[in-house]
Amino acid sequence: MKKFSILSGNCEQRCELRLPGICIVDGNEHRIDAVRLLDGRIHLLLDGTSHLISESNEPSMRRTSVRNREITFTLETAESKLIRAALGNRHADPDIVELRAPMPGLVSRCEISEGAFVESGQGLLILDAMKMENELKAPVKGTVTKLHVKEKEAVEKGQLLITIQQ
Amino acid sequence: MKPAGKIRKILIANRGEIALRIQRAVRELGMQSVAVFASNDRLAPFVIHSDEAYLLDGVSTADTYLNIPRILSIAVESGVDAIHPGYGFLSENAEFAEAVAAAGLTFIGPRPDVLRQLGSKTSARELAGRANIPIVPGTVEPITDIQAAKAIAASIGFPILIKASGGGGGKGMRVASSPEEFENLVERASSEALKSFADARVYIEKFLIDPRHIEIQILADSADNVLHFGERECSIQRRHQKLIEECPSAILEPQLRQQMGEAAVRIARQCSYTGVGTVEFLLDKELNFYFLEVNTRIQVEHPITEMVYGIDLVKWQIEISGGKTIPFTQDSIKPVGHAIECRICAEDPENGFLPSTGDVLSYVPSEGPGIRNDSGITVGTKVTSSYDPLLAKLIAWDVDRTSAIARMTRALEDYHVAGVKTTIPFCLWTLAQPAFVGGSYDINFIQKFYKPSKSDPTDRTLSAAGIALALLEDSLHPSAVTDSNAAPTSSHWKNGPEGWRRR
Repeated sequence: MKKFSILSGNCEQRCELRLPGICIVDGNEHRIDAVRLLDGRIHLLLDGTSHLISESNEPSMRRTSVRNREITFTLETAESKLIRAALGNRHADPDIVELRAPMPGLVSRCEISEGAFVESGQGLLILDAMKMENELKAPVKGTVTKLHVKEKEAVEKGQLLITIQQ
Repeated sequence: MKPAGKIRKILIANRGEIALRIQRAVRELGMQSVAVFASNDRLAPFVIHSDEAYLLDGVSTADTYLNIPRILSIAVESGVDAIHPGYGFLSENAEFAEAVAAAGLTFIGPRPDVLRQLGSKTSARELAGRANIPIVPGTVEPITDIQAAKAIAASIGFPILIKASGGGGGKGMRVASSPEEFENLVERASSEALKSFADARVYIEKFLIDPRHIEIQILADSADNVLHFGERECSIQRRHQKLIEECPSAILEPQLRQQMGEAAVRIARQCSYTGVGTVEFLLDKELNFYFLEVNTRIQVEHPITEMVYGIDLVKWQIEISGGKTIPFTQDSIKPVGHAIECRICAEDPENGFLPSTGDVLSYVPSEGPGIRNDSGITVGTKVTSSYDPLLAKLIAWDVDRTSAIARMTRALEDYHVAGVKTTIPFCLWTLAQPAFVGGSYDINFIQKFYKPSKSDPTDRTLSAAGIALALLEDSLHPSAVTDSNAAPTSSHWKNGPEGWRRR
């Protein structure tokens, strides 16, 4: 990844790693000095400004934090840009929203059934975990097209629970 | 019970940060500590630093940390004199306290009759009434007839708070804002109460609008000395569970502190309380206080009181159980400076504070003057959904509130936990809010103000984060490097890709 862009909101920074210790950002040359700590963090001196960066363990997203304040962005290379353009929006129907278990637990109660129309924020099911009854709420308004679990069923983290068609 | 003053060895019937906290006190008092642990806690600091440790076989907490016969047999076989129950689990269980005494051992906590009386919120309310302490209007008896309860609720006026008689920590608690949802929510509270406390009974009280949660620390011995150590402000709560506490409160004047302290002492005297305890109150906007409940154990947030009053509450709890009398008087107890505690829980604040599970991949707690870290984790700890999500408590003390907030902010910025999401970003957000800084917040602070929002980094910080990640990806996938004219990116790293690669 010699040339890449950092995309965040509407802002784009074009970067290029050049000679060791030099990075060009939007045409300006900056000195970089990076070390990886044994605990996994990265310490980067950018023209002498100190940044201690933690990487999130979510591989799907570019999530980092500096001083425990989260910074999200996309890293884009010429290659990934092409792939993204080629894939377009084919991979997912944006009107279908999947609700997954945020943690392992036991479905203690389903408050809706298949075919139900739900409002955004409406309670859908109760997941017992960590000795708490956690109510999972509808992230969007729509129709429950599929209820993938039954009451008293144990679920794993990330397991598909409910599909909603907006 | 063994004769007073003969405690030499203590079994700690708990886990996590509190088991380690108690073990430290036990060892510093020159006593032996015995840990009991479930197999998934084998690597935990409270096990590896103990003098002796014994396995509680089984998977569910009923088989392990709640297994009274097994814990008692370990206690007897290992020859301990006393059992410290910590908080949660068996700490407020009168049957356990009785069983400990029946086994000839000392239960480090109040007498079983006191646990019973204060453990039921309804009988505690009755006791508070007798001690002439204001209580929130509601039922004294648990609900038996839902229609009758509905009528009482209507006469008090909605919103109505439904609470578990045998509970605490927000479990089995619901707010009904109208008669229509009352029945359903009573049922929900009751089923949660049954699961959490093996007691389905619930009662109702008037739901105060935007109160503050203020609690008083008490210490009592069996020679009738009852003292209070001021208040803790615990209004930053989500789902009725505390996240940030401070001592002293930003709004309590000395006169009100004295009134509330005296009320707490009165209720302790009313039941001949012994040991450490916490009397919880709600404070309304007009600064009227109402009795909530008594927690008959060491409280999670006890360290802030320790920092401000210069006392080790856990050591005194043990010493009093050993028969010691308190040598100081109320007049000699003076607060110095300000302390804040932030609970670092494995939860995702951006996602409704739902529990976050996984392995702790790396852990670097904060240090520095005035910083205390009471933690139960280490690198490799598996955070599962079987236990409470509390990982650690970060406590900051400084000479005044403003400096304590600044110190806590700095310490939260430096705290590093990877592998699970934590409440640290939430705590940082809170400490920067005008309502918190100004000290004018109540128990609905999170509900009213908290909207998970992305931070707005400077361009330079964004560049740094982006460059760091780009360097990292490049070194993780060296084969992807095809541009032969460019410098090998590994040389951007001062310690080379091999030096730092994980595992």
